[in-house]
Amino acid sequence: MDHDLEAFRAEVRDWLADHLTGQFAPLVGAGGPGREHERTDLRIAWERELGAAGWIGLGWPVEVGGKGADIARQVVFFEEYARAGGPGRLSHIGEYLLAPTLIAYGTPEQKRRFLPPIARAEELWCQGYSEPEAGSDLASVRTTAVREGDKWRITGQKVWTSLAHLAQWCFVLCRTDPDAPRHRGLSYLLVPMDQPGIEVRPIVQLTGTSEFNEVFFDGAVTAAENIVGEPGDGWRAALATLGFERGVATLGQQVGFARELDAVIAAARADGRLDDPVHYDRLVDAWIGLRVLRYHALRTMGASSGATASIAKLLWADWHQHLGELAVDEPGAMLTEGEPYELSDAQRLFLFTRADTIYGGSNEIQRGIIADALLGKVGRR
Amino acid sequence: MTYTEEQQQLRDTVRAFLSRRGEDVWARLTGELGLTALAVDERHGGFGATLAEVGIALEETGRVLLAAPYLPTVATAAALGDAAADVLPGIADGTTVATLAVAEPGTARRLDALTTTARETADGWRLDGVKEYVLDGAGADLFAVVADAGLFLVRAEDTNRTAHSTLDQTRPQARVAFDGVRALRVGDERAAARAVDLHLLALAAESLGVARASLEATAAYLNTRTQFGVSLASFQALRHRIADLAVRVEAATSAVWYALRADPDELPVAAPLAKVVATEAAYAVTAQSIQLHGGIGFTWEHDAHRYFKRATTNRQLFGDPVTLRRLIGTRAGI
Repeated sequence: MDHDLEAFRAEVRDWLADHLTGQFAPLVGAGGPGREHERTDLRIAWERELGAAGWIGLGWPVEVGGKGADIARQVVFFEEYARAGGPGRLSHIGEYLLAPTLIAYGTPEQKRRFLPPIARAEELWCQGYSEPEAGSDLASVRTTAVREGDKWRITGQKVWTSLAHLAQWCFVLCRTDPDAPRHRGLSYLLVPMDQPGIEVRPIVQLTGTSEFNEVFFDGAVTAAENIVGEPGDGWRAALATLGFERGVATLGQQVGFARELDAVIAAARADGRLDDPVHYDRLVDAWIGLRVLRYHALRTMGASSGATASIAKLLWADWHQHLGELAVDEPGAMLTEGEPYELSDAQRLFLFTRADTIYGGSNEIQRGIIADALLGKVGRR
Repeated sequence: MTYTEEQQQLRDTVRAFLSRRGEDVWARLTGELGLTALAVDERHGGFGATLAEVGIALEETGRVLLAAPYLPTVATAAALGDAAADVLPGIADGTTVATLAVAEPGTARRLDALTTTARETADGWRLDGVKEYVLDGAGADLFAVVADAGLFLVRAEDTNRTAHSTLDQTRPQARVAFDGVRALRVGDERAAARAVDLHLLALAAESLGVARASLEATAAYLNTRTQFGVSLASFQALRHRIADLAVRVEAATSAVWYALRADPDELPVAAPLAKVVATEAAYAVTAQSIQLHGGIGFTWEHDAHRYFKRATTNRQLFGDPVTLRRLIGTRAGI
């Protein structure tokens, strides 16, 4: 056993036990996928609490203000956070998507300007990638940015933008050279959200709640230096960000999955479905599937090939969606608590997991990436 | 790190040997390569390697559907301790072929309903019962037998054996009758249960090799075969199907990898779990391999059916997936 690691685990556990109380006690179990609308003001205060204690940027290098924690320690933090019922994070898009991209491709000035406010949770970020006509085919984005003196001027529309209504900044994939081949005319801009040229509209999902938004850019501006990489070099940075997105926090996520699975099994036990051998077989299969997710994460931890991340995404997204189906496999789950459209945990799990196989690269996109690794890029349609 | 450098070398050595195996495969596999000795402690003439190394050897023998009694011998060796000191050196040097007898006629889905009995007499233990589906049972020298009072060793010459012909022609099975035969008690009920778990794990590792070889052959075929003037590998319907198979093989790899390294007290869940996941993956991959090969995959001449038949058989041995899921559920407290 690694005693340093166990000491670190105790430190995380103690800190969470000491701080996820008092004013923050209502946050236990709040937020996260399907419940992103809950208690946002208090959750922002909680993010600052985490930041003040140095828990944000744990895995960043020390040179840029991080703690330089290895993967094992980052995993421990996620596991303990999930075990304590820590609320769904709000600063994670800056911490896990933008920050690694800046660390890899940003200028020293950009790192100095943007990383510390992420680590203190003073600035929250959102991701401006998808558009109405650019979903899986991300390279076809139409939002344009035109250089005007010391500014970029941005016009277009982004969609499926998580947390846009709370974020101070957005990283936006824009077309800056309409004449270049489609992957080469893109740039990666950092854009402040609080300005007249930006409008955010929530998207009401099939759950009746909103986690995602549409963001309209109508002549919005950002300073000329707020570009990551060179003009026309945005695709490379955008892909790097997607790679970080798929690799993050898997083992911590599984602690939440285990809690959901336990609830599904407990419900089946309570209403006698566990005595049905067919239903029992399905539930044990789900239990096995979660174990496999864990073993897979342990085996592939630290591996970085694109296909590895895609395999992990397919495994957990399909598993989670199937768990949602098991959760509502009884007639009582078809009833709701009346108006407004209030969902039970089982119903929320069932409905929200339809998104798991779409966002962060749909299952079909992931299969394409895996096939590229296995067969080479032949045909590819 | 997933595998150590030594483990990678072992894999390369075994793979190179199996790719150009000629005469006397069993003698060279056990003698030159010492693959059964991996599972035998140094005090008894073995190498005392871990299950992780045994698993690598089994994965490699699965890749080529090796027609030799490696799996039952090495898995039985792994299940035996000091009480079997007399037989272990023979297993380590390959002169003794051993196998485990568990299932009985009519109990394939009821591993808890075994009726083979052991009784202690003035001159040692005597065993009564009939065992079914015993791997390489007709050719084995030594049986490890799961009975009511634990795990027992029986010499082959004391038994009545009936060889079966099998769907998977690369691995024979036999029915073995024990009619008041002399037996050596080498472990209690826990040791007997562990012997079964080790065979589940061995079948999982071997099935992983079957699945991976079948997946690679199928991918190679899609890249070779041309129809409509283009490579089959350019069709999305086929690309996505093989991607799904690759995901199943990766999941099986992780389940087997973990079980081979699990603490002994985790094995009762990790081993059947790995067996379910790996044999289901091998079945899916080898079945789809026939489909993706088209007409040639349905011929006797092509290897695809041999992989399919081994995968199908492995899925049934020592408990099919439904039986094992019930077992896992019970052991996990569900």
